[in-house]
Amino acid sequence: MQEAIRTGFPLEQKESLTARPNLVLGDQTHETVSEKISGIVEGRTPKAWYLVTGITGAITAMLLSLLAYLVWNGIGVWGNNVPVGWGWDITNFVFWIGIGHAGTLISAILFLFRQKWRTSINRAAEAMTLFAVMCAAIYPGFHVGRFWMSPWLFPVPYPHGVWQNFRSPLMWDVFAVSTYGTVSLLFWYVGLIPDLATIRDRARGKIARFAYGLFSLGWRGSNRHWRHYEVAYLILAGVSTPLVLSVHSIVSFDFATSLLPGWHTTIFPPYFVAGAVFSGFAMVMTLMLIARKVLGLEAYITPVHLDNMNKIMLVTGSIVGYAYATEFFIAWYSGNVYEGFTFLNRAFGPYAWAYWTMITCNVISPQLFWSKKIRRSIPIMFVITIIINIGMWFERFVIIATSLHRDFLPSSWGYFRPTFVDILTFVGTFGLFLTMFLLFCRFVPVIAVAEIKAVLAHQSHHKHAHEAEGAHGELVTAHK
Amino acid sequence: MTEPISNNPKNNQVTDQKAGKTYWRSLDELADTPEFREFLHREFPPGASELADGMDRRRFLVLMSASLALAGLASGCRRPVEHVLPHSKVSELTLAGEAQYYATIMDLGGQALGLLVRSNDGRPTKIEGNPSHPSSLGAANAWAQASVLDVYDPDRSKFVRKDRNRVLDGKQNDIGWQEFTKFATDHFEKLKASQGAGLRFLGESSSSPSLRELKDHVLKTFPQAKWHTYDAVSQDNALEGAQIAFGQPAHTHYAFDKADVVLAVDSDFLALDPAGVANTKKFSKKRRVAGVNDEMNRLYAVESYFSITGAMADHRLRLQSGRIAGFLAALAKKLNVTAGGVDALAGKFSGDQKWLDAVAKDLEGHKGKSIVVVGPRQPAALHALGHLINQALGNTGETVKYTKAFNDTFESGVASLKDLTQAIDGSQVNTLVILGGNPAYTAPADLEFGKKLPKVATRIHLGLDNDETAFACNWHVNAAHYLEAWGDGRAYDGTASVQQPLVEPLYDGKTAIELLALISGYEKQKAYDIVRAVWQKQTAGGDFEKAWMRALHDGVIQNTAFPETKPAVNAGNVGTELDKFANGTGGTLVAASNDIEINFIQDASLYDGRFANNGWLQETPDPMTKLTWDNAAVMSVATARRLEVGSEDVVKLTYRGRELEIPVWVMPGHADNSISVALGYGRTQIGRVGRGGEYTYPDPIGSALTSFFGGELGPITGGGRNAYLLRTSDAPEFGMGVTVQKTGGRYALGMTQDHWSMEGREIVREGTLDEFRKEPNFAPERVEIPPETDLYEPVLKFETGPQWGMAIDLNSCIGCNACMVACQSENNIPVVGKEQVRRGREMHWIRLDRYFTGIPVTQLGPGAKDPLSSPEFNEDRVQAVYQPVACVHCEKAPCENVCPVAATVHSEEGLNTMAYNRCVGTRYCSNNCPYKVRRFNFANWHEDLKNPDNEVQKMVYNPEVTVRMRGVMEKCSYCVQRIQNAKIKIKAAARQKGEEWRVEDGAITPACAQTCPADAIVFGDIRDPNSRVSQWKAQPRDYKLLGELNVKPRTSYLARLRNPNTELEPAGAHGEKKEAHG
Repeated sequence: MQEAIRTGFPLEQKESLTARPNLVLGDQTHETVSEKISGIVEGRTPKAWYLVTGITGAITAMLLSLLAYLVWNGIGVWGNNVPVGWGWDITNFVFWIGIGHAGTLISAILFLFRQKWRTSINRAAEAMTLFAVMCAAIYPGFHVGRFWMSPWLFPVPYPHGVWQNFRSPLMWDVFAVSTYGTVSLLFWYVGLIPDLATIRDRARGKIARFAYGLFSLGWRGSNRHWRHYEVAYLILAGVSTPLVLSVHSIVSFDFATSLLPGWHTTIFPPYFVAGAVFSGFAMVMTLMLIARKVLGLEAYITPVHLDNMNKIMLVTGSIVGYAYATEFFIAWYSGNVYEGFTFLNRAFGPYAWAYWTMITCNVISPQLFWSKKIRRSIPIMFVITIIINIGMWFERFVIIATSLHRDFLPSSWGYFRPTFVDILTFVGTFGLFLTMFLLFCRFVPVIAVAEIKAVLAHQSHHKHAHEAEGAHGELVTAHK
Repeated sequence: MTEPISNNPKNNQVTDQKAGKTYWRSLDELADTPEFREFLHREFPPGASELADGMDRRRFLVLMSASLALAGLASGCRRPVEHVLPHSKVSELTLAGEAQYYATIMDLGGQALGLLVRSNDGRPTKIEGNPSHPSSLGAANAWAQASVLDVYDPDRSKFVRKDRNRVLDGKQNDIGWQEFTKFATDHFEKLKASQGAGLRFLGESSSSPSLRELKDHVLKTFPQAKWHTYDAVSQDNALEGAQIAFGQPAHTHYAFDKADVVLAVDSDFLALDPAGVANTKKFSKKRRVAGVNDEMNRLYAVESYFSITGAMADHRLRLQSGRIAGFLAALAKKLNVTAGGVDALAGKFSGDQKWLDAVAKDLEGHKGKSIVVVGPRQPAALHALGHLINQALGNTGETVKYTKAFNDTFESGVASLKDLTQAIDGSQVNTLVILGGNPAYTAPADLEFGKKLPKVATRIHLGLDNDETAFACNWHVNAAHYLEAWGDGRAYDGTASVQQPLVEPLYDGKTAIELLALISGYEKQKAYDIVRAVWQKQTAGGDFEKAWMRALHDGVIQNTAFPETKPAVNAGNVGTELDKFANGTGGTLVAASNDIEINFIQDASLYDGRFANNGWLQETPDPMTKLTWDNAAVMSVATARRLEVGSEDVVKLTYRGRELEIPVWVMPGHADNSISVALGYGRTQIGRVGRGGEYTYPDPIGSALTSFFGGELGPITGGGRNAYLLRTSDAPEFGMGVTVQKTGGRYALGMTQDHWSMEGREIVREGTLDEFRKEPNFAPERVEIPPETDLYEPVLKFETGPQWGMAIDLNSCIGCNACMVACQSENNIPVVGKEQVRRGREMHWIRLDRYFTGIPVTQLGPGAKDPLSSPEFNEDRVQAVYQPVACVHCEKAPCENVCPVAATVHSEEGLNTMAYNRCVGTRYCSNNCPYKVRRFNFANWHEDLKNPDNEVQKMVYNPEVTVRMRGVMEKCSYCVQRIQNAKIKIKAAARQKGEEWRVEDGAITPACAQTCPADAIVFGDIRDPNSRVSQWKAQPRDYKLLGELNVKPRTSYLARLRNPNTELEPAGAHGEKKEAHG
């Protein structure tokens, strides 16, 4: 029973697990796993890390200065205008929020569905979720004309006694994104506790011992600890699961509840969620493929994982493609001139280049994953994931810019061009994202050590258990 | 010093009281230091009461003495009391903060436009038309509306300058004037001895009797002196035409309110004419069609440039300006009007014969009820022919009336200037006094006036700006703005008015009459005294004081209109002139070739260039091209195709050996083989606005990067190109033989509307009069509106109190921009500059959407063709329509529910209100507004006010409207400040009487409706079935723009009607295809 709670798997399934492909390659033991993954944190900081972090840090600094510049001068430093009130700001917001979906999906939904292969990637994916939400949160905060008034978006009692407008989807956004950010952080952090304790126990330096000790919250790996941990993790997984669906559904309401042709459509919630998972997986893949190589995690992130991830991208990519087709069909079928025009204009108007970039990247490229060869070819999938990320950025841009730039009255039609501030701010968010990710790689175990041990192949588990002092392998390891 | 101290003397007595307990408020007070005493007696901290530039607050108040005088507060005034009387709206007791209205006039184009000017605490802030004045009839045009900004223009000329240098610096800038006085007294004393030999005056046309009096006096004092008059944009051809026809110059008045058929021959009588406002007022009366039995006039237009009169026309014939003579002659021939030269000219007409026949027949069928109006750009002979035709049609005395002109003899301005230039060449001029105007810039290029000016030893210039002429003269005297100066003027029909100032000259500026009085040693020196004296002389008998007060109060002097004359046309003279014209000696006629013609067009915003430093006007889009901050070489689609150029391509125009590089703007419906260029741009000596680059938004990184990487089309500054460089004295209006050469360069133009087609959508709904009669509800029925159901019970039911609404009659709106500028003035709307306009960030709360009809719908999809290349596109059939769009105040406003902080909410009276303080600026409301009428402050557009030089600019603001900061959304409020003001008064009055308060219809008029010359906008309570707005909304033509979205807009539109001649357009041919928008 203990086992069931701990791993989330009923005992009787244990047997069949061994029949599955080995999720960790090589003759790994608990010892080697701890050694390998903690080693990344404990070892000397490679010079390359300093170099790369220096670069991304500089880009982050650029982001911060551009945001200061924006606040100082006004939204006019961006290319936004009337009719295109939202440009790259909300495009990037939705883009980053979308990226943030993979983490929670992998952590929560795959956990509840007992997809054991998630263990190798969930930690990094969750971290990416957090960092992506951070990047995303910049935009709604800073895109408002009066940044210093943005606290008014939160329903806190203010002396002026004006309450927020709860009919506004932007208000829902505030709740959705902040809830999502909070739960994701908790989920990630709770999952980290046993691993932080492991590192604390292995730490040689005083500072490291203190810091990891602080963050491991006094974890001793006792039976009680494990029991509470497992329950908490399960609950958080349960709480997170609906959030995966709700956040992007609510983000999609920003558009769906408006009356703008191209936005006003009921297909948005599922389509946005699928798109978010699609882009999130692509981003996780891109980064994991690099991390896998650089950190030497080939044994943990195996072709099986990659294959599975690619299959999810194939599914979600196809859903997205289907959604595009449905939108077009409905625009025609509705007989609404504005709606019909908006979609024709998307495909053949001034932003046709963006639309066809989106179609190529999002609809055509994932279809290559029907081939198992491609699904397992690391260089090809690396390129495809990048293409998908580009495509998904364009999807948001197309939805926002093409719908806004030509709406009801042709007299107000316009065009949106990004300024250098737009572009460099977006580049800056990548700097922030990568900096955070690099810090994460450096200071936090990139793979859930405790969890990965649970999926080691049966015999090695066994073997290790014999060697171990205690009756319970994990406990021993956790103490080390 | 922490406690606020009241100036109430009772409080100050606290320390004086010896008896009883002594209270002190601070240690300083206890110690009774001198600083404290000073503090106690000063209302404001030191420095707060002095403005940085030129004038301190105290002085400003002194300067306002004129306006304070009216309230009997003149005790602080050191000058002779000059009484300015408020208009009837003002009570005896003036309340601080309460706006007052004064009647005055604006003299533009040699005619006066009567105005009522709002004054807030002594500052003129808003200009409205004077209902009692014949050329205003209560409305004002864009120029008048915007002229208030010129008073506070920080780049105005503020000092008397000698040899380009400022004479004596400092706050007391009338030292410069004293210096000039000393010089002038000596100089003109000497000239008196020589009887004024070598003395010349150059002025602009003016209707002012006082100026005339001074002119006579000057010419009496200096018998050898000569007076020249030159206007860049003049009515000379019209006056000369009358001279030819009647033997004396006359003003022609058209009773458009009585004419059923109007033919405009190259005439933009609705907009660019000096009597445009009155013309529009009258014309629009004949466009009101409330029911199926109402009649409507029919307007034909023949023109080259697509004017707004052409857009209003039911039938329009595009024709090169030079071919219009042939058309008019052919028409005369058809109407059996015989005069020499008619036949010869008629033979040269090669245009649409069917069109001509139909017009002739229509005119013939409406004898005595038609008008043929020839525009001022056409030669005098054609004006004479026009009079002949009107006489033949029996219109004279009915719809066409004449009064004597302001001057008894006609003198051509161009000839006069030519004469002056020749005199300068012949070294016959030693002193030249230039009274207003900017001839160094506006003179025909071949005269090289600016270049020759330095040959005159003494050159004195009086002007508002440090312009090209000011810098070419040795003395420049800064002029007083008309809102600062006493004067007088006549309306087109002769009705005289006193021009009374709203404020004393901010910079001690002088007027032409004052300058002339000084020069000639006139008995009175101050403008006030001169004007009074002139009118005293003319008021025979009666109580002059009373009459004077009445004149100031009413804004018109009773019974001064010239009596109508009924001159007979001398057909012989007309024939002689036409003959000259026909055989080519008299004018510019077109050979039947593919030669390209150039037209010099008066600019709808800058007039002749005098408003170039006025930001409101620079940013007001041209009614037809929608260009801001620039002019362009405007040409038809066919001509552009022939020349292989497109909009924004730079071309080099070579005309009579002179060259001008200018960007192209393609306008469907312009005459082929004809290029029009607006005058007034490309100024070299001008303030920051006129140079076009100063109003750009401060984005140092963006600008640096743009200039480093090279923008798409180069630096985006406006200012335009100077068309005067091509204009010659022999053909100042149009001429043949311009060659166009593509330079390969591109020039970015800033337009407020990029798209010209309605794309088949039912936006401006238009039908013919016949269609309307057969199917009165055609407009609302064009779009099938699904049942308007609510998902939930609405919170506001709009069942009590007044419910505000607006109706706009598209059949009367001419698209003249007056409402745009009025709104800008009333609501403190910022100017953003060309670059920001180009980025789509203009701030106008009301805009005039201009659509060209007759352009096929844009095809999207594979194999799509340019609609202008499609065979369905017939440029002859292009028409234009206008639609003013401001916030329509939807009852179910889509902007409101998406605002996260509830910054835009609905009032119980149906207003969609903006709480600027609450707005954080998410811009979602703008995205969700289907009308796109919301305007966002993308930057601090008032950044320039931080510059101490611009301190005075703040005075133009309406104190009743918040100046919005950056990051805030704004939009039309239906002039909520006017609604509230009226309601406060009505409620107070009702409470005194113990009655229920009720807003009378017409008690509240938003700025746009107030100034609309076409009376196309009506505002009021839609719950009151008798209000005008309710009655308009009950008309069958009423429809809701985008009503199918179920947003329930409070502003609705009355569909546009055209009254086509069935011979030209068989019934049914016009029918638009009907589509459900569901």
